[in-house]
Amino acid sequence: MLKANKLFPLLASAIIISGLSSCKKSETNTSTPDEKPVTESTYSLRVSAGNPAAEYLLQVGSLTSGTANLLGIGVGTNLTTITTKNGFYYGRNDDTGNLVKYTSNNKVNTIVKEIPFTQISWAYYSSFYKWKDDKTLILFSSNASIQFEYAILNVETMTITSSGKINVPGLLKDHYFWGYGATIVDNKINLTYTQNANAGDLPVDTTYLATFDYPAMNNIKVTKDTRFTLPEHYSLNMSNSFVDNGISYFMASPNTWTTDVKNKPFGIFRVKSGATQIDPDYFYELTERTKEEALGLFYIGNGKAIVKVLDRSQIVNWESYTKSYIMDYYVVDVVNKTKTKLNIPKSMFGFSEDVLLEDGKVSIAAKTTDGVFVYQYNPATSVITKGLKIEGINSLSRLDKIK
Amino acid sequence: MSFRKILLSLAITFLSFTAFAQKSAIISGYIKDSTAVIPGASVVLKNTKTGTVSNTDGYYELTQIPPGNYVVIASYMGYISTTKQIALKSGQQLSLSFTLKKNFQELDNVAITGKTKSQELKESGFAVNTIDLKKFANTTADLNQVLNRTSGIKIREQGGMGSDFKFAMNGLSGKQVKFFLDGIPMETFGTAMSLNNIPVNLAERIEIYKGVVPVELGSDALGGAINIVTDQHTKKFLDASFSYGSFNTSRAALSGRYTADKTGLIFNFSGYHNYSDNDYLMRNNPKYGAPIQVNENGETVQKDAYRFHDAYKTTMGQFDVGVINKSWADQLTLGFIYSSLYKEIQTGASQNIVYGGVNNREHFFMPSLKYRKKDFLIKGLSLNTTASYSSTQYKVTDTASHKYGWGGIGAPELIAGEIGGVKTITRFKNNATTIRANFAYEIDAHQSLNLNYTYSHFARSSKEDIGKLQNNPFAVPNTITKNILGLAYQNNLLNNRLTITPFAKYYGYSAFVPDALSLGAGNGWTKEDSRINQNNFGYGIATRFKIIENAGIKASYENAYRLQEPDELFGDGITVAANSALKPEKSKNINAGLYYNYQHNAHRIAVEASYFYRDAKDFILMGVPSGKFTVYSNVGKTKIKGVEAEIRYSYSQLLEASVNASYENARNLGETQAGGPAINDRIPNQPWIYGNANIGIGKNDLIGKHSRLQFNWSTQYVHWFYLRWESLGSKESNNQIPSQLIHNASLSYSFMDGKYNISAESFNLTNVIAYDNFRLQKPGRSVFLKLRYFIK
Repeated sequence: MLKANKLFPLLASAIIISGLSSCKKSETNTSTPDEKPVTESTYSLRVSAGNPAAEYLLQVGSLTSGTANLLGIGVGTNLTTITTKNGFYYGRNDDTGNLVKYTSNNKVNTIVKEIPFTQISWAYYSSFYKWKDDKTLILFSSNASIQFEYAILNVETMTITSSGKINVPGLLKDHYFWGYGATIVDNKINLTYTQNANAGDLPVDTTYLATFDYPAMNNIKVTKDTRFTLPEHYSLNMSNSFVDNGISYFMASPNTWTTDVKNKPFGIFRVKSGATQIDPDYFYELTERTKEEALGLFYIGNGKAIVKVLDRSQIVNWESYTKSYIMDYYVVDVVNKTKTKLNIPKSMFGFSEDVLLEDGKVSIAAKTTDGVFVYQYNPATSVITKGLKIEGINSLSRLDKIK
Repeated sequence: MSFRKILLSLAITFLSFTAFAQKSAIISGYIKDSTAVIPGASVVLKNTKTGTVSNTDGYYELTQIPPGNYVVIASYMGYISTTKQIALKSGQQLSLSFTLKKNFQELDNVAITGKTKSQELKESGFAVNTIDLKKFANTTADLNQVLNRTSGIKIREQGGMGSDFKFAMNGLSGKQVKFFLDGIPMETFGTAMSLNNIPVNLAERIEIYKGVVPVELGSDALGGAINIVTDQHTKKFLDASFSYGSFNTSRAALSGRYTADKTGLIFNFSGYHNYSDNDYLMRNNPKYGAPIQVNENGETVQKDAYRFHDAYKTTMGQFDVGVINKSWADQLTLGFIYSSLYKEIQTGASQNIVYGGVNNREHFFMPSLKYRKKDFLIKGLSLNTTASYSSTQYKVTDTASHKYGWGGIGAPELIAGEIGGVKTITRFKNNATTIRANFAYEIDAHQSLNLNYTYSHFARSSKEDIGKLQNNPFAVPNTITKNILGLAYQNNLLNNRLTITPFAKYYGYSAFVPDALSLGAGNGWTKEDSRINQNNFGYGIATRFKIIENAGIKASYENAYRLQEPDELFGDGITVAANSALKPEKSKNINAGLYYNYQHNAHRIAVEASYFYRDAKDFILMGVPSGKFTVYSNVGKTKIKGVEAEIRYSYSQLLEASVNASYENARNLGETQAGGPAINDRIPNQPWIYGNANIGIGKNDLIGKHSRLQFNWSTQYVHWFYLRWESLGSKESNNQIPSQLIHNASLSYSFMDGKYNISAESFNLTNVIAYDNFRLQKPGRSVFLKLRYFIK
């Protein structure tokens, strides 16, 4: 009975006290659009933690040393990040479908402007973007993967200045577009893709290039190249193209995660400035195609890029890309067609934007058996050092410079 | 403050009522035997028409008795009738309890099935509550609303009538709790027959088993079980009711029975029809990260908006025919249930995802056969068996030609669906077969055995009508087969003061997922049939010890399994995606509790308190919705400790009040690696402090003879909780599901001895913005009027 006597006052007081408490806070604030971005630190890490997992934006002052974790800091968020620029995050409120310009400061996200975004469809698997300049973000999508669309966003005023369909011709019967990569050079857009069969989702043995005018999105020309297939897909997750010296570089990546096509090359192809077809004299095959896969194309300047290379024999299921230590980083010289393996232990983070270029130096976030570290690579000296340690996270999907 | 006022006014009313009740006398008390109270015993005044039956606590009450001399007879099957002579004075409140002696000659013929279920439950060591639904018969509540006021239970609804809900009991929730209708598992019944729309009038009582579940329910419940029990003993009755109220909500219910005494023929029927527009106001609440965003003139503004695509309609009809009391069968009945449902879907996993065209239509049909026989083949062996086959067909139509938001219709959309990437009309078909056989054998007066076998087979398939969708995961039926065998031994010791029930269970599980996508080394994607076969053994023990006649302690333990449900494994095709890697849940459950009943004259006090402990592995939790889909996943290891308590007080038939409170401490013990994220964090996104207070005051014959006026008030409190892990990220960015304090009140008037009833009821009286889930607002204040006709 002693137990019961103690129990009741306890329960009663618990109810009374809890009735009085009134902690009320929210994830997002709102502010006027002309405010300066409010950020606490220089770098932004988009990570997931916990099981069930939640997404967090964590900002840190340095990537070169120290330790970071989510204990009490970082913003749990339901806003996606499509891209960042000059201190602002641009994302989508996946609930409402609205476009959102926001800042984050390790405590809360502050929405600068949220606008309806119904002009075009949007999905993680069929949408991509390109910055025209610091003010102009071109959003691309492909509705149900059969109709290309675009919307041009003025990020200063957060208004969509124009939008519409991109009528890329030549969709085969019972096929859909897949493997989207795009660059913009001067006022020409280069869009590469292949076509997958509805039945079996296998790509045809062809890579297409559509070129068209910006901003009218007309004067569309389509050419084919049959040396390789499937340009890397899912570029909302990871960079798959860059422009160096006016030449656009793309990656053919028929990786197991995306397709079940076999014995096709992983490599780099290019489109010269003003050309309407893939350079027929250039292809740089990156891997022994049955043994390794290449993913991601992160430009680091001077005709060089960071590429992820995975041990294909270790890919046993689709979690291999996110849960197995099977990945190496290479620095690739696309002009001279050379590649050098970086001295980073085998890691994961297959489909993530985890490479950051700043002042000619490269930060690479890698999850190795020792934990998650941001490695520092200096292309000028080829020196690699272990930098910031990130504790207690499942994965990292973005590494951005914010300020 | 306001609660104090209410108490004060109730006290005043209470005083004025007692002042009225001076002339006639009241007799009340308990019917017991040497070990326990006897529910269902009859108490009559000899040579009068006055009589009653003791309730589940063994309590009875006879009111409106003119002063005079009487002989009171208490009797119950298997016991020797006892009489007492009394002299009643004007206004006297006589306390008169009976202790009946067992009639062993008769008892031999009764066996254990002769006892009422409530009595069996009371005498068991299981942590069990029973809710007598008769006292709710005049309310417009559904079963969820009744259960939600019970200690240790929290039901989280996503919206109004017919909305999806998640049931939680002692920290375990969702599919971890199993539901039964007269012992038949309801998990394959479809959504047209779920607790959130079955009216209270259809059932007699609800049995709640917490944590440790007796073998006869034959299920893989991890966190407990709810058994809805319909009236099985009233020979003839008819109960018809209709209610109408807010949001164009109507509920009609009908149930009845006819028993032909001579032929033993029995005919039961019941049915209901529910409809609601559910067009309640969604209130802009940015403070809790739950703004209502409306797109107007190219701008996103925050303001209140009404729901516009949430209509819900369900119809159910059930009848069974059979015979009772034959030499070859105590009961043999053939039953049919049909139900249909139309449901519009207003939102996705968050209220910010607004749909305007998606709907679900469902038809459910289930024939079932029940056979019951005591002294089956040999003396002392009772057989209770049911077999049922159910077919559920539902059609999800996702063909809206526009996008929708809280502002209503939006931009045209020619290709994509609202839920899926392309427009679809999907027809799902679920078929389920369940066979349950329960053998109870009485070894002697103190020992019994119970063997239970349950077989269930579930198959889901679907067809897509439009043909744009390429990969249909249910083109070939996905199936789950379960074989569950349980054996329990009960021993009553120390002159029945101590009861011990050890038990063991076997769980056989096999699932078939055709064309499951997988990746092979260098081979790319392959589609292969996936088969899962698992065998697990569980065990446990339940004990009860009576310290004194009215007080005892109970303790129970179970090493339980909960096998994956179809929805968790395959997804529902609407908001839940498939996860074929899901493992069954396992939990070690401990309950310890004490109970005490006290009566002095017409005052009665009952106290129950219990402690529970759950050590769950591979906890199946639904992920925080991000976007359109969510999946169930195994969370490594969770430890839950908690306490709950309830105090009930009543005074005669005038006043009844109860308060209960529950506290749960569920902590994440992590997966394999130590020091991983969120270790020791409270499991997010589930309530952990909640309580209820109920008060009822009623008076007979206040407005006319044979009438009763009854006023009930109930208050529910749920403490706020975090959406995400407590230790991760800033406190400011961790969304909260805010505290809820909801008041409900009803006033009912019955006349002609309960034949005609009229009642008015209001839920969420103070119109607070209520959420059970993040960004899924529940209805504001609603008002209903109910008419009911009952004869027996």
